[in-house]
Parts: sequence; structure tokens; C-alpha cells
Amino acid sequence: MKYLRLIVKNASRNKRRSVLTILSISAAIFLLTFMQAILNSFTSASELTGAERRLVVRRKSLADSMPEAYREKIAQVPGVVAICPANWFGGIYKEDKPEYFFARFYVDAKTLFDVQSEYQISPAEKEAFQKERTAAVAGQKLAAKYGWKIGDVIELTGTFFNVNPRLTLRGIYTVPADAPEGGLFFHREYVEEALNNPGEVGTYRIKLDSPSSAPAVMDTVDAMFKSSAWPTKTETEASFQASFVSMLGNVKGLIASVGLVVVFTISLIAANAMAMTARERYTEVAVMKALGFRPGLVLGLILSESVLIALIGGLLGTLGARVGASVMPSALRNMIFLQNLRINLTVIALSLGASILIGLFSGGIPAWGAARVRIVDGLRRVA
Amino acid sequence: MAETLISLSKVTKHYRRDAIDIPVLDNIDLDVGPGEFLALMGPSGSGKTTLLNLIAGIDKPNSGRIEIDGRNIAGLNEKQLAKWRARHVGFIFQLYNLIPVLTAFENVELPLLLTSLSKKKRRDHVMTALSVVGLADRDRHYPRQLSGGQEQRVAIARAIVTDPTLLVADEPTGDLDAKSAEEILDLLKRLNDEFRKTIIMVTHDPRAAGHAHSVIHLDKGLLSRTGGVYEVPAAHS
Repeated sequence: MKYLRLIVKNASRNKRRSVLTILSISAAIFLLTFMQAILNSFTSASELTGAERRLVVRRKSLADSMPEAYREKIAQVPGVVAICPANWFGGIYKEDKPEYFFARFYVDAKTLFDVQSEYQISPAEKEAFQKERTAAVAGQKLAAKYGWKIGDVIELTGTFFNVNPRLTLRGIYTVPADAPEGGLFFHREYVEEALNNPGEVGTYRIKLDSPSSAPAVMDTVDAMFKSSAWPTKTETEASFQASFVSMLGNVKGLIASVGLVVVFTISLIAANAMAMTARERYTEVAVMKALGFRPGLVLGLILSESVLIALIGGLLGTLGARVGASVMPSALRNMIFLQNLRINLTVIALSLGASILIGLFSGGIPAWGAARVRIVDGLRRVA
Repeated sequence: MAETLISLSKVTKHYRRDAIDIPVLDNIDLDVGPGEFLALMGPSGSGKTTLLNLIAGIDKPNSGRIEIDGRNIAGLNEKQLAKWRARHVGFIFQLYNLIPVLTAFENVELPLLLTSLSKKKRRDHVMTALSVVGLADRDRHYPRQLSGGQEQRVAIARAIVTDPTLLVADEPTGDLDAKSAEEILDLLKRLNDEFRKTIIMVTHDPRAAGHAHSVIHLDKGLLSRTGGVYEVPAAHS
């Protein structure tokens, strides 16, 4: 602690340079934090809602579907306690604009709440939903966003499917804090009938008796349909979400690559600033060493300055990302499947860790050079 | 036989530049008594700063022994030398070499950060050192807010704050006007007389050298002394 004042004063000796370095690091950490949060959001749903739920998707492509007949066979697999076919409807609500985008699925109304057991709904609303073919349920936040109330009519215009559902909201479900809402659900029968019963299922959502059953169920289900015309790929909800995103390309890889390039570039900029700082203090370092400061201590002091600057930048960047995430328009969140975007403690810790690494990397070589300054050479520069 | 604090025996120093050996000091023998005020004079390139650096432990000889208070510092490694310097040597430079972002107080406190003294004790030591140089009221001033003479006095306070055995001064008045230079020399004389500091001072200025007890002339790496080994006055014994 006795060196803290020395470190702080040295770190702020060239205020303009320090501020610019801090800003560049904060920009990098802002991006890094956001990117980490985006990556996490792809996989966070299953963590938030329990690992016991699993999804069955058709192998190769999520865009392809499976026969309805799979439902009974999968339901017989030991460990499976509930199964709910679910298809992505898509379509347009009001206008084809981001602010009207939200998830819409047609599902088996009878088993939806068995599989999605974290969805809380009153028994009366649940019964009303299950009884009426044109009924729909929506998450509380979604309903609040559009001002929906029980009994309201919600009209969708089909885009993938040649059907325009006219739905009546019969229930509003809630989810635990931090858990994502699933969107709008309505009856599978309604769409199937309108489409002349093609009998196609996009995904089967499965609930297991215990998380430990997952490996066996995944193996059994995939083995069961391996030789069929529609082989399956059974995966965890986390993997499913990742697959969903991968339809857009290798987004995770891209995000990670961009993040690393940004951090590396900023590290070089910060390293240059630290090198300039160290060069300017060549004589001062020699004087300090003459006074008895050991090379290791000089190294530690200069590294501490660098880490301090990087950490301030990191804190600003993380704070900025947190504020940015909280004010991000919900339409944007929905557009890029970021309902679960959250700057949590893990993301903050990783970002601050990255800041410290930037500080160590950028200050490492200048500090090493300063620690190795020969006193007589450093003092000679003055004369 | 006179008591010696510093004893150099057959000290040789040469630098190597582009495969060429440049001799600086050649078989130097020198004894300096405790409490002595010694001036090192000589033309540019004569090796006086090199000799001062060797005595202060910031450079190493190619051969020979440098004993300070009975310890051969030529045999110490870098870490040991750093510790030894912190304890035994105070440095005064021509251009003061204060840290510009630190106040006078913080500059003087710098060597004490290497000790285990408490904050309060460090404060007491710093204020005592600043009082000795007559700048106790300037403790919160930054170097840029002080005159050259005042900066050098802060540098002297920094040199004495750990109460070292030896003060080494390289052209301490070289960047000062005549009045300030005289004040600094008086201060060094006072440190020598009242506080019994052994002082070795490199200077070009014969008037500055006149404040010393004895003068050593270096020329082409060889040494000649004006005056013998300093005898500690009875009052100091």
C-alpha cells in the first residue's frame, strides 16, 4: 500500500495519454463484455431453467422436420416423462418491423406446461387455453409490452405457412426471475388443420425424470431413428440454442475471433503508450535504482501502473456494457435472439480479468526494459 | 595510522565500445577517512564520475577491491548492492533528479519506502530532513514550484533522510547560480561538520573544491591527492 501513491501519480503523470489509453481499453472491454454476454445468452436458457429438459431436433438442419409418429416412440423411451411437439411459426404481427418481432410457436397445448414446468399459470387460464383450439398463451413481459389482456384477439399473418391465425389470449404465464420467456404459444391442431395436416414436427421438447437420464435418452432416441429417412439429433437445450444460432453461420466463432482481435489490437496500443511512458522515465528509473529500488520492485511498480490504467479502462468498459445491455431496445434483443442477454458477475469477472491481462501484456516489456536499465546509463542521459 | 571508511585497492575500470577497450581508471588506490569531505577534480573524461559511481556501488570495477566500512562491495550482486546503497549511500546529482510528479515531501520519502518504518515515522524522518535543508515549509510543493537551489536542497534532504554513512555528489552546484551554489556548498559543509557525513563530491569548480578537506585530481585514469588521509577531528571522535 505504501507504493500506491507513487503508482497512482506515475500512472496519471501524462493525463492526456492516460485518458486516451483508458478510453481505448474501455472501448475494447465494452465490446468484449458485450460479446461474452451474447455468447452466454445463446446457452443460458437451459442453465436458468434446469438441465432436466432436453430437445429432439432433426439431424443436419433445424429447418427440416420430423414425422408426428416419432412422438409415441420417443415417449416410450425410459426416462422421458413428457414430450411436446413444437413448431416455429414465424409470421408477422401487425407489421414486419423489429418492434413487432417475438417468438411464436404452435405446440401441443396439453403437454406444453408439463415440459416447460417453469412456466407458471393459473389452473383456470391453463384449462381455458387447452380447451379452445384458437386460444393462445403469452409470457407476462410479452403481454405487457403489447398491452395484451386476457380475451384480446391476436392476429398473425403467415409467412412460412399459408395460414393467418386469429388467436384469443386465454392465459398469461410467468417465469422465474432470470429465466427467459418462451414467447407466444398456440394450438398445433389449429395450424395443422389449416395446412391440411402435413403431420410435421419441427422439434420435440422432452422432459426427463432426472438429469442423469440425459445421455441414455439422447443415445436411445438417436439410435431408434438412425436408419430411418429422418434421423434425429438429440441434444441439450444449450446445444440446441447453439445450433439454432449456428443457422446464421459460425456466429460464436466470429464473435470470439472479433473479440480476440480487438483485445490484441488494443493491447498493442496500450503497450505503445506504456513503452513511451517508460522511455521518458529512463533517468528516473535509474535514480530510483540508485536509491536502492531493486529491479523486481521497479518491474512491479511499472506493471502496477499499467494494470491500474487497464483496470480503470476495464471498469469503464464493463460499466458501459452493463448500462448498454440494460437500455438495449427489446426489439433488438428479439431480432438477434438475445432475450437472455445479461452482464452477470461471471462476465464482469472475465472482462476485468481480460483488463488485467491487457495491463500485464502492455506493461510487461516496458517494465522489463526499465528493470534492466543500468544505473550509470540512465544517469548519463541527464548529463 | 588514520582510520579509513573507504578503501580502494588496485581498482581498474574500462569500457568496451565496438570491440575497443577504453581504459578509464588504472590501478587506483585510495583511502578516505570517516567524516572526510573529499573533492574529485579533473578534466572531462578523466574518470572522476566513474570513480564516484564505483564508490557509490552503482557500477562495478573490472578488477580490484572497493571496501566501504570493511565490506568489499565489488563482490556484491545487484540485489545486495541495491540493499547496501539504500542503507549506506545518499546521492546528490547535478540536475537534482527529483521525480516531477511527487511533492518535495514525497520525493524525500522515496528512499524510506524501502524501509519497514511506519507512516508516522517516515513522516517524522522526512520533516526532519526537510528542516535540516531549510525547506520544511515547502513540503507540499512540486519540483516545478521550486527554484533550482531549492530543488537541490530537496535532493539533499532525500540523500540524508535514511541517515547514510556516505554522501556522493556529482557536480552538485553545476546547474546553479553562484549564490545558490554557495548555499548548497555551505549546506554540504554543515552536513559534514555537524552530522559527520562522509562526502565525496565531483566538481569542476575550484571554489566548490575549496570547501572540501582534501582534493583528488584525476587525469587519464591516474590519481594524485592534495592533502593526506583526513584525520577525524577530536571533536568528532
